[in-house]
Amino acid sequence: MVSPRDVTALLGDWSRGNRTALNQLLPLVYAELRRVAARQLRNERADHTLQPTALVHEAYIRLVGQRQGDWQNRAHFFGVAAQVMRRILVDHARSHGAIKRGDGVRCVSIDEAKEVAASNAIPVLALDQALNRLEKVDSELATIVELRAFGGLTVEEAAQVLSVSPSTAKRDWRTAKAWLNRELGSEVRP
Amino acid sequence: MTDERWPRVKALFQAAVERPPGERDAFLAAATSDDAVRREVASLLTSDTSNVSFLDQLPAAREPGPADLLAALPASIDHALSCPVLTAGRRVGPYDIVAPLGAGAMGEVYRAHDTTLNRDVALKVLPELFAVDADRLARFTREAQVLASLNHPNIAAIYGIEEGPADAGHHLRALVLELVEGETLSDRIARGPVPIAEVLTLARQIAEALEAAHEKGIVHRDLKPANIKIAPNGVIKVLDFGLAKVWDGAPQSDLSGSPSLTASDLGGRTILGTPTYMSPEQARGQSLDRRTDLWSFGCVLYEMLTGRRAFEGEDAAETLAFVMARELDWDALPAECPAAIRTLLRRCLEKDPRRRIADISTALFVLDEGSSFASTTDDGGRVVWERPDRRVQKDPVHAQLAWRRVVALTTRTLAVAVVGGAAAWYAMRPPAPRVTRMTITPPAAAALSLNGLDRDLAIAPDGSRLVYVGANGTQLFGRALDALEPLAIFKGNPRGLFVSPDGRWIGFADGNSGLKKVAMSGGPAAVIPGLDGAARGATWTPDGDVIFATITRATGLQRVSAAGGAPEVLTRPDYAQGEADHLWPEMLPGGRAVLFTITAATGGLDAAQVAVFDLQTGTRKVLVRGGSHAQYVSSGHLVYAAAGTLRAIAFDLARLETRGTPVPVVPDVTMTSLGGVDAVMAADGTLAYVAGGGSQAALQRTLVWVSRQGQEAAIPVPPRVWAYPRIAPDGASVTIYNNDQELDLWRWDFTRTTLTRLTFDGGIDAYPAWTPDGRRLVFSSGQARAGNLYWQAADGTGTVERLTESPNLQSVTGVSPDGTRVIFTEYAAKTGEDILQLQLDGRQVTPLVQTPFAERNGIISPDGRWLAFESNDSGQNEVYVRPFPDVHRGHWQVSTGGGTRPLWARSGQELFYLSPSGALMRVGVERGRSWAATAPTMLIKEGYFTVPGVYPGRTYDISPDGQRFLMLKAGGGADQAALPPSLIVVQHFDEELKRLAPPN
Repeated sequence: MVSPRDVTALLGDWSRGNRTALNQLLPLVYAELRRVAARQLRNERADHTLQPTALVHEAYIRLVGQRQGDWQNRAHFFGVAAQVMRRILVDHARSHGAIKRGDGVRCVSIDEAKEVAASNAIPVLALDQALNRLEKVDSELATIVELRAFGGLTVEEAAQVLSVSPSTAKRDWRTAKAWLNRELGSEVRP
Repeated sequence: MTDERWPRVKALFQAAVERPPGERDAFLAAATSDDAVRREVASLLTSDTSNVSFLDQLPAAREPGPADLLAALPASIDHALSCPVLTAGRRVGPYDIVAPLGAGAMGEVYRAHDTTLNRDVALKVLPELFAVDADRLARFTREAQVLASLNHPNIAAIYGIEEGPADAGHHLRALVLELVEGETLSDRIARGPVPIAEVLTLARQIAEALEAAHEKGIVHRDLKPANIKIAPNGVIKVLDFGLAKVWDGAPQSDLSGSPSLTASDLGGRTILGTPTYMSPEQARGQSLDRRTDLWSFGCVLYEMLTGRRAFEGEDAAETLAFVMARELDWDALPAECPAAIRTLLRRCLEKDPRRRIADISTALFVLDEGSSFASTTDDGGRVVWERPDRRVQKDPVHAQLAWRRVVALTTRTLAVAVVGGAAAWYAMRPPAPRVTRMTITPPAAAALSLNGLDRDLAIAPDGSRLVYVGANGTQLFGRALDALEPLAIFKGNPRGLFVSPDGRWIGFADGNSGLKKVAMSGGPAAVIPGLDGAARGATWTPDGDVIFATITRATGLQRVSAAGGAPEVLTRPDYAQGEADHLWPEMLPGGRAVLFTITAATGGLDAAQVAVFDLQTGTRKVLVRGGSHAQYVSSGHLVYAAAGTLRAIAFDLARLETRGTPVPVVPDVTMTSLGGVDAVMAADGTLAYVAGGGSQAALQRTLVWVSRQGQEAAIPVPPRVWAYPRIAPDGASVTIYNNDQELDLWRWDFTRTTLTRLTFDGGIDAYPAWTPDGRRLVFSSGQARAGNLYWQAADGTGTVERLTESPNLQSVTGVSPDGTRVIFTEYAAKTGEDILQLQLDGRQVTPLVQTPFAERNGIISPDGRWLAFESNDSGQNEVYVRPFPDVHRGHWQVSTGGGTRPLWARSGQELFYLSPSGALMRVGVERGRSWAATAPTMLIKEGYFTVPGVYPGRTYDISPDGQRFLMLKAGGGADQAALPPSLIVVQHFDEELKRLAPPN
């Protein structure tokens, strides 16, 4: 078990540009998110809902601790969590989509059909792919979307992670949204 | 697009997007000569969602999802929330897409060319969510139809909804809107404050638009400068009327994710609207009425006058805080702003809606008078009243308008306070009109006839003419109040009358064959198609649609369009909540909502409820419990029927809420068995009704003795709606149930020929059974939601004691000969009707015959060895016998060809039942250890009253000596026709209501 001090140190290293620190952080955050989710699911009724932001927050407190976590570290942690979340979601969407597509013909009930219709498997992938394309055009824009959309960061927090001013982050966010709106619009439908 | 250009595109986009939309094109043209860059920026600008995009709301991490974390996250990116993107040249129905106009509330807007009508329109493409959610689409369609009925020069029209072809699995739906050229008020204000004179012209038109909408019960809810267009000719067009409301009925998760809609989450509540122009009640997420538009109107007025927003914080949260708490900067108003306008602003921007101007006509009045108020507000109130007179010379039409508004103001003290002079005005008010009552008894040839099923009279909206069903239900008669004789206007089987809002048409059900309408003055009748069962109430909407109800329980309220087509089901009874049906729709003024009655599966009319269905939101709520068939009265009341009386309760039409407590206003009125009432309200406040008593003549019956040879002997019991006679063990009296008004048990003494009421509670007391010692009566009582078992002393003394506690309806069918058990039928949701027994000693209830089929009317043989009952397990009702108490030891069918309501002779040697046609059948029972009986033979021909097979309860009895039968005979005998029912007309009933039930 890593100590909060270790995680804080890794976060600090990463914020100073140490890529290795990120590689060490990712599995930690991933595992912790999984644990928190599993524990909540055990304790909650089956129909209860989970708020992923709360999950990330709890994972942060467990990994870093409330007192050690200064604002910067918290933002960076959420930055890492955003990447993790994106990975989890995309993996899930892929496997989910595969299951839904299934092999061979199967009759589905109306309820099942509704569930399939309501599932968001493809759009997550669409967003992921659109972000990959945006990454090539403007990686800063892609990062800010990742932080906002998957990590639940505010524009200000994202600005912290990216070391830009909040107003720049705001402008970039708006630009990214417009770009993605356009991209997703043409992606999802003809 | 190559990557080298991206930094330039990005920079230009970020610069352009900060500018007002109207200036962006010019800015781009000036900023770059590179067409590719400009196109790219323009396309990004089109995709820009200036306020909140779906991505804002969707961080995977924000939206709660189902329990599975991984399945949960991306409710966000649901493609259904984004809008289909159309390109120029694409065709949607008859519309050719010309160019994108931008993103507005709810979706992308395109300029399109209507190839049919050869005009340009605006197409607002809806998020796909609408296409995949049938309920929402239906609600939206209804809503759009209401909005489409708004026809006003200052309101951008909604032409309709266009459905594009589904391609690649995507459904395309678009609102077709009037295309308004010109700039928005927002653009205009961006150029600086608007001169006072122009402000008055613009504000007046905005207020006119609001007035027209409010009159139809439509609230804008998102009034802001960006929604107000100034056409090149200076005419104001208010856009997006009521569209915010369409969204309001949507689940919150949908709202928060919807694109280009300002949804702010404050304390967990999602609020719709633009924070800057949002009223405090809207900001709090409270329910809204038209006063929210008054607030927004004030914000817009302020902004025009000052050039700055009334409330604007750094972000949405701060803006909301300002809206709710901050006082406006009044000093920002230009010095030349008239005092009346300042006052108007203050009263529009009252944070407490109760203190705000309640009616836009008040604002219109002030604006009409314009700056002329400026010099006179200090003169005292009286001057105000002189102004319009002075203007008559200059502009009579205008002055008349202003006067009309003054009159409209009189009921609103707040409004009067705005313009001052309240006292002066009240002194000038004419005295309240006198309430007048009259009785109209039509001549014999055109006598009123009531069928007990439906409302059989109607009144013109101006109170000038009555229409009623007469001549034994074969004709419609019209009777003008200023005429002496009624005139026949239709022949057939009319019933269930309703009047069109303009008073030109009478609608009615013709037999059970359908709805028809005929001109008030007579003429050929036209069919209104779409009825799915016998009608129980119908009402016209302001748009000419008919909302109706039938006794088909699968459907509640339905609407059939004036233009024809299949009826649309608006409501369905919620069986899980104990609802039986939705009946008696009555339109509320404005067309926004319809009153109706929810009948209950159990508990009779006491459990009926008056409810209101909001056509805009598709929601309904209960207004009155224990009442039916409510109608609106212009005095601000609902009048409804309860237990044979009319009651009134104050009603807030804007909030669709009752106020205060109900008071009885008519003590005796005719009601139908399902709660309809023969009473009608005219829009002018006239009430017409039929008093009870004469009402149910057709349903009345008397009791007769019928010998085994079929000879009748009259019993002088007064004719009423009797049922379930049960002769006392000593044969001296009979207990009978009265099904007209009291729904109570009575006793008829054969020797003394007296009628005594035994039960007095407000609910139904029915299905009596004597204990063998003749000392007690067991019966079912619907005091609770369902009828349970009670008993009391047979002479009516002492207290009523409850015997069972069950949520199910229980009807007593007999007491065992030893007096230890009560046999009863219970209706359970799962197994239908079953036969149960209650052990009086210990009060234990056990099932006797309980199957998924219906078993009813169980009765124990006098020797206590057999249980006779009926069951439909063969597909029709047949009478069976089982051993008692060990009912599982055998099972014999007694009847052939159908049978119900078995009864033992006291000798135990005969069993009787009713054939499907109602004839009394006899079976001889042989003594012995096992069951043996003769074949059934008919004893007494049909022709006596019995309730339909699906209802429990025996409708005859046998004398103790077994020689004659007590039967119910329909019709009341000779004295029935003595008093033909009369119509009672109360003019200015609304004035009486104001006195009897003062609205708070």
